[in-house]
Amino acid sequence: MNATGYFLPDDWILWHSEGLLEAIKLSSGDHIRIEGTPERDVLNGELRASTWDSLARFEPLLGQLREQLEGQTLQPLTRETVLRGSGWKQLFVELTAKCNEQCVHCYAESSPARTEALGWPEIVKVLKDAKALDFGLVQLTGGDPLISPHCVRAVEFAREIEIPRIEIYTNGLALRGSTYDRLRDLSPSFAFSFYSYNPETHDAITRTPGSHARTTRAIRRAVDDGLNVRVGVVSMEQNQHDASKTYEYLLGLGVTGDSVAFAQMRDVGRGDATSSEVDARPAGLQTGGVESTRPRNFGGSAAVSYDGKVYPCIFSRHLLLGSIYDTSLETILTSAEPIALQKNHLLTARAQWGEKLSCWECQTRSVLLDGNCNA
Amino acid sequence: MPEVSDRRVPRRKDTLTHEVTDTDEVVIYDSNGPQLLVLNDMAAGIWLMIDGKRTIDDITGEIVNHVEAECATVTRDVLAFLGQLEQRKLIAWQEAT
Repeated sequence: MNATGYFLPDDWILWHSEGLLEAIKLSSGDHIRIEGTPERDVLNGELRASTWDSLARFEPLLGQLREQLEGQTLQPLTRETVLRGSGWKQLFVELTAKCNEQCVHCYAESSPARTEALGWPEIVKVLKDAKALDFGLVQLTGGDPLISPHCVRAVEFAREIEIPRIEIYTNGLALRGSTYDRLRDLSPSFAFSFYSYNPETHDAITRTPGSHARTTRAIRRAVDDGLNVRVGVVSMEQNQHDASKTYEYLLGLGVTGDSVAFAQMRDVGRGDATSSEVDARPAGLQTGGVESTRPRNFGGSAAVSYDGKVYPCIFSRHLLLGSIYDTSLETILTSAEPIALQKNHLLTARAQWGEKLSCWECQTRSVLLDGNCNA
Repeated sequence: MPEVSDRRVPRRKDTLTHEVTDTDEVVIYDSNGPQLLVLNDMAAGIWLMIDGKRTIDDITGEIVNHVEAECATVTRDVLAFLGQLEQRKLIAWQEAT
């Protein structure tokens, strides 16, 4: 019996064949199986209203599914529908692999010795495609994006073509002088990487003496100038006991509480060689990051790496989608290639991706785009 | 009556509940799944006769009394449907007491 897979934005994956419907609600993992007869097919609108009412009484989730089915068009499972989800949300653009730090856990394995970087023509093409696809946010990252000679120009260009939101993910070490002055005027958002209130711990993780003081200075300066600032703290063995003090420290710099996210380290890049079993949130603190497996819209993301390779996300480097040196980003992301799905595999395999991928969207995409989990 | 007597008694699994709709369909809900099964009115009629007491012979006999169909045909259809329910682990069998 051949089952057809559908994606029902923004939260359901459906399999359908001859009266049988299986539905997985992605954000919760709830799995429902509804079996009708060919003449009472659930998905083809042949189910009577009173039967739907009974179904929903037994299983309230089916009430939600019914509303979704009435309000939206089913999309066949293709690479594009899986990547895009309910709409293109975030594009990561790694301007360079080079970094002025060499953090012990870096997923991109960046360091001062790295030389790979995107050239200006490629950056322009990528940003134009991001606009064409209607991405809501472009995050410039790396390595450290501020080291790229094209960073400020990229922000300028993104503003010019009216990409809604630009964010620079940085350690802030190079956020000074004319670079800072020009960026301040362009007013992008900043996301800073930070590890501990304790300079020794922070510098040990970045393996860069003096980095704590320089990042602190950059954060304070951006906050004082009224720029949009958030801070990401990756929790690992070295800083697991610092979380509460680090949180207080960041509040002291003027960062708002809901702009501090503690994220668990992922087994990607150099992080793969380090223990990642640390969840070092400050006690009782409700912040993002570690909790990013929480339900939310299945919005689309993609990442263009410093070598032109395209992935669904910066952490999903096992899922190579193509290279912007071969074809455009827009073409890569809008592929109508059908997804052959092992339906019983989705929930079990998704859990296996948990060590590498922090959010359920990425876990789900990994299973859908690469059914055989090689984690 | 069937040519070969069948005294087996189908019994519904304990975790099942059902509801009859106003169009005489039956929706069966298995909380151990969860899975739902929508039965058309014919299948619903058989399902409703599964009470842990009626044998296959009883069920078939009652249907034959209400529809214009050959006993052998009804028996075949009933067995096929019960076989599907068994396959889905919705019923188990016991011998008539």
